Amino acid sequence: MKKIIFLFSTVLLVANTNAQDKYFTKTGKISFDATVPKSPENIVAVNKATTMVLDTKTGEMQFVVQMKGFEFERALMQEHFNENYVETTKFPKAEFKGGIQNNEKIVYTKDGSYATHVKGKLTMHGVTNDVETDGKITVSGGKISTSASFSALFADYNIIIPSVVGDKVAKSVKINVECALEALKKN
Amino acid sequence: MNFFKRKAVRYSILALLLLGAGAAYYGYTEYNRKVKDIATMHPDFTIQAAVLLDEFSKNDSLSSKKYLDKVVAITGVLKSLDKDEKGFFTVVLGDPAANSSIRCSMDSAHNAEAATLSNGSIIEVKAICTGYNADDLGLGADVMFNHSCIIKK
Repeated sequence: MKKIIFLFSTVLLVANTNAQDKYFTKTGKISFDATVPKSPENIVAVNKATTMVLDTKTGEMQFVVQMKGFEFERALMQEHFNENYVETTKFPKAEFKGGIQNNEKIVYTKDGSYATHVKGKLTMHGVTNDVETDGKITVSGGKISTSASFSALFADYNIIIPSVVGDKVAKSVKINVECALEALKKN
Repeated sequence: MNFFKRKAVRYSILALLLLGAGAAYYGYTEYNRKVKDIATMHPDFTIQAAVLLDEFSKNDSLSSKKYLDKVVAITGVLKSLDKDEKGFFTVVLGDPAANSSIRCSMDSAHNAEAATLSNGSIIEVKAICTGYNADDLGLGADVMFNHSCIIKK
């Protein structure tokens, strides 16, 4: 009987630990900047509804962003982004799957700011490429937040900027990711 | 004859100037056009949250074709109100016991409208459909909206 109780307790503990290893958000921010000196104004947009999951045990992470959720200040810019450049009806999502390469150096239970090195695959506009960048994980009062910045060439994702505006839009877009995560509670 | 010729040239120049000014004005206003205020937009669809979720769960590609980029007025139970670190609200509609939801990011001009909402109340939100996240990550399926405003509290 004692053995059965011990086994049952162990299974419960393992299940609970697994649940606490995973953190997520559905309100992550991804912003991008494609401004160059010749741009008549800043070419920036933000998406405030990025979904991200991080497994703190393995360092594996994944995020999904609906491309139509990028908000621009000017309507014309947003229309061009959706209809001509990124073709968001045809390619509605961008997705990143990867992991923190130095996950063993991050103490998720201890407050602090930890430098991360992230590697993975980014799929956008129907094209998948390897992405590698440095980022940061901040642990504060039991809350985990992540941030990273990296650049991506439009050409690498078959996104064609028409030559008439070619010198007014950056060839390489700067992407910034910020996610405040919460523990994933399993029902 | 010369008199008529001069007059014709003058009118042609005037017409060209007017045309040029019109084109320049159109270009200027089009370039500076802001994203329309959601509060002034007429909804393409008016629907209950549960019906919308059911449509997407049964056929997400057909539902995406129907609702993406469209202005939708949705009535449903406020499941939760998510506030990010910068104070932006996301209104989450749906059955509190279910895993799937309708997530509406508030428009920055209408963000304050969400501040006084309370969980469990029935509200109506007007927003633009941006996509559907199937339950691939184990977080539940979500129909996504942005530029939201609150119509009824």
